[in-house]
Amino acid sequence: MLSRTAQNLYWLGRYLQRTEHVGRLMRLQVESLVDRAASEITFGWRRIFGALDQAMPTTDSTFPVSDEFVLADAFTLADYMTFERQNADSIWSSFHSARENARQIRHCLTEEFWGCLNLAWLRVRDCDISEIWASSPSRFYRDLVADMYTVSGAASSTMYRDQGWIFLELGRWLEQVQQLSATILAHEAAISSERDVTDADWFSLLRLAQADEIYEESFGLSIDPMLVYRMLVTDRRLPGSLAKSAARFQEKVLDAGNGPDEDAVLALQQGAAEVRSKVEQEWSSHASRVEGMRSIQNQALSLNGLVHSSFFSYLLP
Amino acid sequence: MEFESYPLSAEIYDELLFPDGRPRPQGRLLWRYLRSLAPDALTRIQETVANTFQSEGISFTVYSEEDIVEQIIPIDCIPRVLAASEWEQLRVGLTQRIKALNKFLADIYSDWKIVSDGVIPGDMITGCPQYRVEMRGFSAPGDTWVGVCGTDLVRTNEGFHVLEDNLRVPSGVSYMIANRAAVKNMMRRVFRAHGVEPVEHYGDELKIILAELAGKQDPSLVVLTPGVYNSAFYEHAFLANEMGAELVEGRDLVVRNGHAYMKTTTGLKKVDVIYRRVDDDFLDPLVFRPDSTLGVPGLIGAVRNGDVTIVNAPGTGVADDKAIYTYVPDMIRYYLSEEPLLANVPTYLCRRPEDLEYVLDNAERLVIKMVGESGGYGMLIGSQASRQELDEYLADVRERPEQFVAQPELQLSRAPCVVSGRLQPRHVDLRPFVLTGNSVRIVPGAFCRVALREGSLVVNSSQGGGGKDVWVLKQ
Repeated sequence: MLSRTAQNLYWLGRYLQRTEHVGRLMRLQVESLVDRAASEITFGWRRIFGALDQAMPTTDSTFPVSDEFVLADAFTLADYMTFERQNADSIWSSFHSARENARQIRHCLTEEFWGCLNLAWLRVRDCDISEIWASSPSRFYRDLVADMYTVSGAASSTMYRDQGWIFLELGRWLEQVQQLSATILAHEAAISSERDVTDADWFSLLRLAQADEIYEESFGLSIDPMLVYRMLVTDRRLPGSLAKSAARFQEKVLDAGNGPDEDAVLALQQGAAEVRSKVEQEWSSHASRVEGMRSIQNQALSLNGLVHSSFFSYLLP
Repeated sequence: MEFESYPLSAEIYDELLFPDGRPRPQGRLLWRYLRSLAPDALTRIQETVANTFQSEGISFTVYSEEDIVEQIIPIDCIPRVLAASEWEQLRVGLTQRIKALNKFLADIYSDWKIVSDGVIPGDMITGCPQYRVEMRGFSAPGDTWVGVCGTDLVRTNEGFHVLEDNLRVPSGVSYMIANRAAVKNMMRRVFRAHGVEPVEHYGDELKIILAELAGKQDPSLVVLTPGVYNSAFYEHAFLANEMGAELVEGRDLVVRNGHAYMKTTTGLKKVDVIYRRVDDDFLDPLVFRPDSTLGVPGLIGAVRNGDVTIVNAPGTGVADDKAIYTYVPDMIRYYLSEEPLLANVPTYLCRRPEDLEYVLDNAERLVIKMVGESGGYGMLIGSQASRQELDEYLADVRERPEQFVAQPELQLSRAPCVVSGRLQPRHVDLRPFVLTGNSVRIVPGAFCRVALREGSLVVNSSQGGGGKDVWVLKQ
């Protein structure tokens, strides 16, 4: 497969996953605006910005907590995270990047995959925050996430399982590892710097990974951070867990086979194995969890570089 | 849908109707079908067809000073119908024309006979910026310099005329196929009743001629595109998909030891044939423009060695220069000893003093064009220009007459289109695609361009033009 095509597929996988992830974060956040306390809403924003490695556009000491201000501010922050073109992590930017990558390789995508993706993009492209705020913002994010599932389903049920599929999946799973570890890290960081953390904060984290119902079924309504952690990180039966994502990423690395730079490929395979074994460790304390997530995040960044040097931008003979 | 208020005129040929309102024989079924539709039904068909293009992202790119905008190409849902006999006339005429043009190109880059024999002035060829001295002595496979040609035809009351031959990187064939898919689905019964020739196999035909020109059964084939911001990128991706070829940019290719390779995830892979959609200027910075980042250093060397085949060959643009165009009938007589089957539009070469004088005296009745421009740019339609615009343009013509040609303002034929829920006539042209490998192959269909603005004669997509499906009848 042409290296640039593989690179487009890889980034298509990453940006689609990122769009879905930010969509889910935003859906939870705008839902919390309806009935949650101002402090809880602030905690949510802090977690979103932290998960995307961005500074909150305000300072800790001056951050207002009155209901009116929080709700008014939510409009601006939601706009920034949803439609702001200058924000590379906004839903609009991520989806636009996904679609631009897809457009460059649409000859490698199935008609169904491209069609679903393009239609979903058209629904987002011309929207703005006033329009969605005037009706039901949570519905916009819910529909967006549903669109992402449809796009992903169209890809999964129609794409031929060749090299192209491997690189699409490689991007998707690495993004998942990066996003979930970053979100957990941001959650931990917000815990250490904020007011007392409520069970609702932990449940929203579970909801983000579609793990709230299964947690309730398994452990009831009382929150034990260690159990939450186990479910999100080490439980491979959960489709969005870190353990599952890291395992799928490693599988795809092995499926991709050898590239022209054997040393880079070897380093990539070793790195993928290390991340996988790391997420399967037991971290009992808050400090070790933070350290572990940070280490996984750094490793995910270096794996991204290794994917590139192994298959896309290797040195020519 | 009634035709009572549909304007007809004896001066302008209508593709569907005679001037007295009767349908032409080839379009009778379509006419009946359109009459049977309620006005809102036709509007619905038009909207659905247009929405198909939107949802499938069938687009082209337009450049403005501020932005690069991806636009959906406008499509009109009413097809243009050509009788089998009309198509046959075009087919043989186009075949004759491409044979002569290929012989001309082979000649002017080697023996120079047509100049030696006094048919065409040599300085017209060497003075053309599209004549590539770097290609002198090059021998294209089977002397086929032009594998893919898109010829623009217009129809008047006097019949078909060739407006120009696009011999460099002609585009529009993907819209021909997309138009067909969209319209066929919405007009299934009438489509079936008409007995329409298929066009969907164009990609297969293109692949065949590329393999023939490469001299290999199953060559490693790529489509070379300038990239996603090129106006015809949709088409490049479409054709790569149709042929199962890789869609590459210059940065994906390298030349090593005289061989062309593409960069793959497993290393370098040899390339046998390149269907290029990049202009000559940008193909190889070592030979043409040194600042090109779209090309491949060393590519022309590999092409000259015969290691890789490139279609169309570099240097073909000289034969579609607007001044050289006037000599195509002479080329046909010279190389084929035949009379041209398709007429040129009468053209005045401003480099000739008598022609220049005529152009200056009759500019209001002429369309004046710059020889090196395309896409509807650099031209002036005398009847639509103000006195000041005319004076300024003619001053330029006086200053460098060799850069201009002029043609009478033709009354391009019109075809019915759905405009604001009503049937309205709009001017159209026709671009069939002529493929040449071991033989000439023409898929029976064309991209019909439509000047969607009322009264406009400019059909180019970049200037507000749209497209129509073309139904070539089997019988």
